[in-house]
Formats: sequence, structure tokens, C-alpha cells
Amino acid sequence: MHDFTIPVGPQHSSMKEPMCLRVKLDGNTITDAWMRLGYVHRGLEKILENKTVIKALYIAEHTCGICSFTHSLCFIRAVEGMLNINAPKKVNVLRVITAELERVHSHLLWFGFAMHEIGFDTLFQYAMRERESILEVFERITGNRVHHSFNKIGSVRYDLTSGDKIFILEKIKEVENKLPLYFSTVTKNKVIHARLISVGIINQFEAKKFGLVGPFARGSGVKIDVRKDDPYAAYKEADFELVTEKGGDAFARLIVRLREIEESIKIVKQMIKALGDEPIPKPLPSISLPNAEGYGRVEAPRGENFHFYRIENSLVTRGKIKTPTFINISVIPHLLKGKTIGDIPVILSSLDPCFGCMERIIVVKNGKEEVLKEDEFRYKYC
Amino acid sequence: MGIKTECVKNFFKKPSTKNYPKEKLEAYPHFRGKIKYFNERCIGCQQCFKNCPANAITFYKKGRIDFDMGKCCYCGLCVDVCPVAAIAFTTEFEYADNDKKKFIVK
Repeated sequence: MHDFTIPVGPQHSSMKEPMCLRVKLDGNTITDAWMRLGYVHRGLEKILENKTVIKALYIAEHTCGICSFTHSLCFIRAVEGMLNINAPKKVNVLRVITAELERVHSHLLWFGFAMHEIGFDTLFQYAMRERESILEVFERITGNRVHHSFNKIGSVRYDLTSGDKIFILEKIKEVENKLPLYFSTVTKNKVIHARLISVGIINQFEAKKFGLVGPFARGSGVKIDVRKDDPYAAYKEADFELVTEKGGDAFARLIVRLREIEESIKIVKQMIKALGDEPIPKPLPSISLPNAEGYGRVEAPRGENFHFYRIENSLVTRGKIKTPTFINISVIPHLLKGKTIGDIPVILSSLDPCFGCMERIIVVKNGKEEVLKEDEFRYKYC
Repeated sequence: MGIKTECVKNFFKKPSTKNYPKEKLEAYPHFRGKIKYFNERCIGCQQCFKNCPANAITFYKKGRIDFDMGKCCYCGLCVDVCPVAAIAFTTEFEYADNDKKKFIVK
């Protein structure tokens, strides 16, 4: 057999975002794999520096386009901890509603794209239709479909009217009614079984060793969830199940995410019932902070988000953002070994990668000029 | 199989998409769209300019401020902070263009 090393990417057929994967092949079997990231690095932590806290909240929110609310919630948790603000119960309940709706929308988006990768475009269209109803809810309650800018320090932007509550329940019902169809299709369809079962297996021990988080770890039976381990906002009052599966393969992750949609819908219903009638407080007009350091951690749709901030003279002087996807992608070369080329899109998409939010680091060569031909550049840096 | 029943149901349904350029969906009242600037109300306090996280606002003088909607992140800080309500969001969302100069609201 001939040995080949081929680059998959940066612009490749399966992912919408750029990432270079180099795989060494023996025939059709992958024997080794390397990754190169850094194509969509935006220097977000540098932009955060020397900004006031109120400005930095909206910059931190722009870390990710899909789970933007959880990033702002993480920032809020860090800053409110430093200020010793305890947001009233109603504000916390509104935050949980938005966070859980975002989880539903993120998992539906992932479900659609995962089905698209294996060629099941009907389910992709169905999932996108369901996601649209959640986006409509966002447009109505927060004012924007993607970057909600709903959080404020000590408060939220809008209160829910009684019409909004009915609207949310209606739209959630639409999603809930369709879920049994997806479950039955996923568990019965032979094509899905052939493409997903025993692909990209990672057992519980290895998942803990790599430090995986979120639905990716829960698919291997690791009980890890910040909502249970370190409850924030109003998650203490919420009654929900920590979903785990024992399979550890791409199919188990699919089932975990579908079941999490069910759990999230359950939480939203509970929270709407728990919503009181009192008005929400007005946001603080200006904030003078002591010199302090603080962190926040929340459960994003893809796993644990961690933000660290240092504040001096009411300005953010250091921000550190740790996203769940950056941890999860480290396991990809390990998962690809021994698999075929056709499994690459399935394994990559099964971890729900989001390159926009994982690019926290880039190598800049200091003072050394390099002259490279196009081929050399491609070999060295692509 | 669920897909077959879905096909039969959809025979008797209206199309779920809108005939876009002719019919338009209405945005919800909270929706943050294009900014509107009332220059006769402005008192030149520069609060919007100082608070913008995206540096989308250019301040020239009292009554003359440029808002670059291409840079705007629609966070709404300038609207919240304005003491005389000279800045407001409209529900307009259709202003995609090839010319960057058309994004500037004066």
C-alpha cells in the first residue's frame, strides 16, 4: 500500500468554518492526523482590554454567534460576583428561560447539520424549520435573533408580557410535537445506524483523561454539567435530568443532544410558571468597581464556558475566555486513527465544533522574515 | 415512516414561506433595527460616542453624529444612555448594500 498525507481543508466540504486537518493514509485507513487552527482568530481578549465593564459585556457576548447568551451570562456571573450583586429571582428566571431556549436552538442546528453530513437532507430541513420558531421567540423577547444583548448588569433588558408567555409556550409546543418523529426516525433508520454507530468511540476513562465537557462527555457516560455541579441563576429551582448515554460513539452523542432538547423544554415550562409579577429592576447606569479578579462558569450548549476577568480602575485589564469546543477538538486526532476518510465529516460534526469561538491563540513569528513559495507555504502552514 | 405522513399533510397546507419582495414579515416591536437620529434634539453630550463598544459612532459637533451601521453590534447602549432620547431604533432591517457609505446614518 502507498502512504499518502492529504490536507482536508482549510476550506472543506463538510464544515462551514475553516480548519486544516492533515491525515496520513494507508489505503483508505487513517493512520495519523494533525490539526491546524487559527484562521478565524479575532483577538477578542485583546479587544476586551481597557474597556469599561458595560462595554466589555457586549464584546464578550460576541465570542460566539450560536451560544452568545451563555457568554454574556458567564461575564455577568463573573462581574456580579465581584460586585456582590444578587440579581432578583425574576431576573434569574428570565435568564434561565433565554439560556435554555438557546440550548434548544443550538442543538437543533447541530442536529440538522449532523444529518446533512451523512446525506439525510430531509431531517436537515425539518430541524431548520423547528429552529426558526425558536429564533422567532428570540426576536420577540430579546429584540434580536442572534446576538441578543439581553443581559445587563443586575438586570435584563425586557420583561415578559402575558402575550409573550403564551407565544413562547405555543412555539415550544411546535418543537415538542415534532421531537417524537425525530426520535423514531433516528432509532429506526438503517442509514443513520450504519453511519453513526461505533464511529468515533471514546470510552469514559479516555473522556475523563482528555478533560472533555458537555454533551460530548455525557455521550460517554461522564456525569458533568455545571447546571448540576455549581448551580447558577435559577437552576437550583429547576427540576431536570442529567442526560447521559453509555455508547460513547457518534450515535450516543446524537441521542444525548436530542434528549437534552426535551429536558430544556421542560425547564422553560417550569420557569414560565415560576415567573412572578413584580417589575424587573433598572440596570445600573454606571459602575465603579474595586480592583478585583473574578471568574464565572456556565453550561453552554456545547459544554462548560469559563471566563476570567481582572478589573483595575473600573476597566477590564485582562480577560481570559475558555470555550468548550477548544477542549473537545483536542481529541479529534485520537478519534480519527483507524477510521476511513468517509468518517471524517461524521466524527468532526459529532463534537459540534465552532471555530469562531475556539480560536483563542495564534502564533506570530517575532522579527523573523520568511520567504516561501506557494507550495511551501501550503505545506508548512495549511 | 413519519416522512410519508408529513408529505400527505403538506399537500393540503399553504406554503410556509412568504413571497418575499411582495409580502413582508413584520418585525416585532422590540426588534433592534436601523438607528434613527433626531439631530434637533441632540445636546452634544457625547455619551453615545463614549459608550459604543464597536466604535461605530463618530462625533463631529452638537447635532452632527455619524452612526456606521456596518460596524454596529446592535447592543443598544447609545439608545439607553442618551439623556434626551435623540437616538432610537427602528424596525427596519432591509438595508444590505454593496456601497459601505450607505450604511452611515446621519
